[in-house]
Amino acid sequence: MKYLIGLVVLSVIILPAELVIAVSIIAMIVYSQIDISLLGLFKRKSIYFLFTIVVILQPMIIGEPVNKFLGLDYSADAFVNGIAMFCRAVVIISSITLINRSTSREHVKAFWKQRGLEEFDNVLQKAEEILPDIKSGFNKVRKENNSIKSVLRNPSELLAKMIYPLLHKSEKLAPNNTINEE
Amino acid sequence: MTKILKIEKLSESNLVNTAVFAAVWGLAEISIGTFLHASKIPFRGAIMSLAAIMILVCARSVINYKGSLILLGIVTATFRLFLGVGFNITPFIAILLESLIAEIVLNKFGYNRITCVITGAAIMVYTLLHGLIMQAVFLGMDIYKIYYELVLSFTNKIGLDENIVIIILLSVPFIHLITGALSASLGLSVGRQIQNLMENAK
Repeated sequence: MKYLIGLVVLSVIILPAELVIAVSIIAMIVYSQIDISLLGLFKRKSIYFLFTIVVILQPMIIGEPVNKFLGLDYSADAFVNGIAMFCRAVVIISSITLINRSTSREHVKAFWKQRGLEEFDNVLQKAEEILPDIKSGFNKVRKENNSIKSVLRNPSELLAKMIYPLLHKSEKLAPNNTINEE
Repeated sequence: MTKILKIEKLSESNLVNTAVFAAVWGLAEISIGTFLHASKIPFRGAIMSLAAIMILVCARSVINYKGSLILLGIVTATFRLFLGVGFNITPFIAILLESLIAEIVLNKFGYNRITCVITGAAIMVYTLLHGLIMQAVFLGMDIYKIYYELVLSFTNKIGLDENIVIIILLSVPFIHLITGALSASLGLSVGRQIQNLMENAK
């Protein structure tokens, strides 16, 4: 499935404008059969902002304005190109969202482990464990230094005080320009 | 399967400290990132990059094994992918590449104020390019032409001088570089403070 989605993304990137529109319509029909919530993309205001720029404004400012609609000059080629650009964006966003939704944390862990990051899982697990401590620790320091004046006086010291209590203390410090090879 | 980076076994301290910085960065991504996503203010990515620069530079003062910053970036990116709001793939890529830039610069040229400032500036250059590259991927190269024509027609309409437009456009990367350098410098100071606290505790 993911290879098919990859192929669709590649197609809409490399195909000419006319074909992109056709491929995009077919792809979106198939995607909506797999996950109807993907069409929720059209509820977002940003998608209509994009539509306005590439489909409505673009044909009026780019290309030869040889065509007329409601008294406005526009380029038909730029209009087709604009629709293709809009379709490409919709298909790529939907494709990535579909892959993202079908990817579990276990897939991601296995992916990084296969690529040599044996400790990825342990670090991620540890990071999740300490997340509540970090939140409460940061809130505590923030309450102790609630005035802007105290924050601006020495921001680096304040940030160091936030992070330092959470660190493992036996760590060798990083000297200049050396790497401690594991 | 290609092994892109071999990090087999970490010491307890390296594991905990990597997790701490990943959690701090992840928390920043989720809390500030969510707020910025909802607010729709411009240059959201640049603001998140400033936080990333500070954390990466600061982290390097404590975790110094090979690939540490890449592992930190991968864990944070995974946090962002599963816990963040909105379309998470572009921040995911940005986090990975920011950590890769920091790993390359800091490991190749050492850890001092100059290299940290270079790291900050390099990450901000990438941040600036990230938006442009992603828009070209999603919309095609023609989007640059549209932006150029839109800016040109807008400035012509309001009668803005061409030189002023060029100055305004050039000020954007300049501000990116300066703020990136400042953020890296702050990150280094925080790292040094942590090192002092660790020395004093011994």
